[in-house]
Amino acid sequence: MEIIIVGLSHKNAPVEIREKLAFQDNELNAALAGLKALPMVKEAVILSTCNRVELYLVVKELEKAEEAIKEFFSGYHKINRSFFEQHLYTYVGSEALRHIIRVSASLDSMVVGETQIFGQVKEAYARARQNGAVAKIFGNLFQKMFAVIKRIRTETEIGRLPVSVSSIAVDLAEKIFETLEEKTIVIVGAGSMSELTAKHLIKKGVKKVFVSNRSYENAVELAARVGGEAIKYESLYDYVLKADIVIVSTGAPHFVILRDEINRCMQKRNQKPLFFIDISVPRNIDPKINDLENVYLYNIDDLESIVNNNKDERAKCISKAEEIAEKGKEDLLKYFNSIVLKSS
Amino acid sequence: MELILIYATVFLYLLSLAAYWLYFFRKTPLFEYSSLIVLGLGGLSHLCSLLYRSMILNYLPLTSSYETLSFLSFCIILIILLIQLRHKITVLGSFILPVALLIFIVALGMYKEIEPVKLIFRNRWFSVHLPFVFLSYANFVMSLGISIVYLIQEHQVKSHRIGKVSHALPSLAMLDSLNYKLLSLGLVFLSIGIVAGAVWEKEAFGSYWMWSPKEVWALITALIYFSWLHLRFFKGWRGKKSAFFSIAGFLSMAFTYLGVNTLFKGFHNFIK
Repeated sequence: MEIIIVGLSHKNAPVEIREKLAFQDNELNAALAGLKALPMVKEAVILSTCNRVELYLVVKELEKAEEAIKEFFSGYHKINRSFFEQHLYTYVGSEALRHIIRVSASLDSMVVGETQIFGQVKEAYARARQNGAVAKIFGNLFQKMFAVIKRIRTETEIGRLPVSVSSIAVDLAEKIFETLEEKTIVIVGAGSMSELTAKHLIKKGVKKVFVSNRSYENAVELAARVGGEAIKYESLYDYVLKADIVIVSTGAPHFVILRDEINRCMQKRNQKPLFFIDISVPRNIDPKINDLENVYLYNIDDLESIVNNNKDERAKCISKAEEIAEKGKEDLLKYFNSIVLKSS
Repeated sequence: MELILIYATVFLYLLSLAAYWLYFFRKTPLFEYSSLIVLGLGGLSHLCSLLYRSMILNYLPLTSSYETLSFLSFCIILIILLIQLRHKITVLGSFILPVALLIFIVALGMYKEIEPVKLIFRNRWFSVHLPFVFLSYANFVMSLGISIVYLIQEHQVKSHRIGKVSHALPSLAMLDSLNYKLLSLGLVFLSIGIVAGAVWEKEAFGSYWMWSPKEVWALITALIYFSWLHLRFFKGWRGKKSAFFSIAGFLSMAFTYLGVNTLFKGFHNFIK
């Protein structure tokens, strides 16, 4: 009895190949049934995401199994083996266990530390279970593996810190306001960066979005895209007065948000906190407004430097995570060997 | 019996403090829930020790320094528990529980056997005065802790230092709103306490207000908190300014409670 993984991922296979070998959600049941029907396959789990397609199997007669699995890929998707064979990798035994853990812990992902993959692995396992493709060995190994992943998550910072400018903007807004629900944002300038940031904020429940741009038509367009309301450029400060978050990204070569105006604004709004994000170069917000009480200003460099810090933090976590993964693999291997011993 | 409860309380508080500190460094549900449950048990044991005294005294357990400080630390523990249950903020425990524990240990240093209550205190107004004053103190101590955390967090966000510290602490809005609630509630309790005290004074000594140092300082404390409330409403003195007010109010309160007793002689010195 042996554990084998056959698959391909973003690391060694281009998307043209991956998409051909992927299993759509509605194909999974049939595919699992197909695998189970192979005489040497005892248990099977199929993981199919946009970055990887992998079959996790418990098999008898390893040599024959590997051939049969390649045949299965080719037969199921009706494509020639030569088309994909050189992109496939195979892991067996201890290597396979290490690979399952590293994939689930997002150590093998395109963006290391992303959290989606663990959910996808859990789903793949649940699906296989529903289809009766999982028995004692995978049943226990996957549960133990999930515990290892949880340990990696709680004992390292991997995946906890955001590493993109727009997700950091959300993170900061939540550090200031606790929640973004019922909040109002004003977008100044219709650049793509401010649109992306605004979309991140809107996903978090922002109530109202106002868009202002020197060209009113562009403001109307962006407003339509993000579900907001276009406002006249001249009345900008009237809306800043009502806002909680202001995102500025225009091509203007001068400041469009001035300290004295904001100072007046803060008095009128009874010092309710205001969060400014300046993602324009040259800067469009007078940096002196950060000295005003309850006003918080972050420019593109501030955000980038947090991105870099967080990336460093993640990188620091990786070796610790790998360590836990390695130890987890040893435990899983011991368990697997004990089962094989008992059954033989 | 009482000593067993006290030892159990100290033990449970220390245990939950360990859980809070572990949680600060490693955010696992295990530490989160164990800190809450163990602190709850400690609070329960603490409450029993107070009730035990109360039953024997047939009066509020607020007749000596030991009792008042013990009650004060119990109220702080209660607030920590309420905030944790209501707002799911576990991290405050790692800051404020040590303060409550310290107060309780100081109380134990002044431990005295139960003594009969002087007749002058067996008055229903006095028995309103005491618990409300100490409830207000508990609110102010809690608000002090939260204000300090606010100032730390504010500094992090303002100076763009986003990292481990800022991630471990609650958001500015949450801290400010907790501070607001605690101070307003504390102010209500303090006002009730002062008014009840004045009525008692009338019944016991024939005058509502005798300008003793304690009364004057209590009034100053209340005025500090009242001006904070006024400025917050009409001038938007929130955030940092609220935090500084809370610190000033606390200092005045601490002086009213402890300083006046040691520096001046007055009828409030019954504690000695």
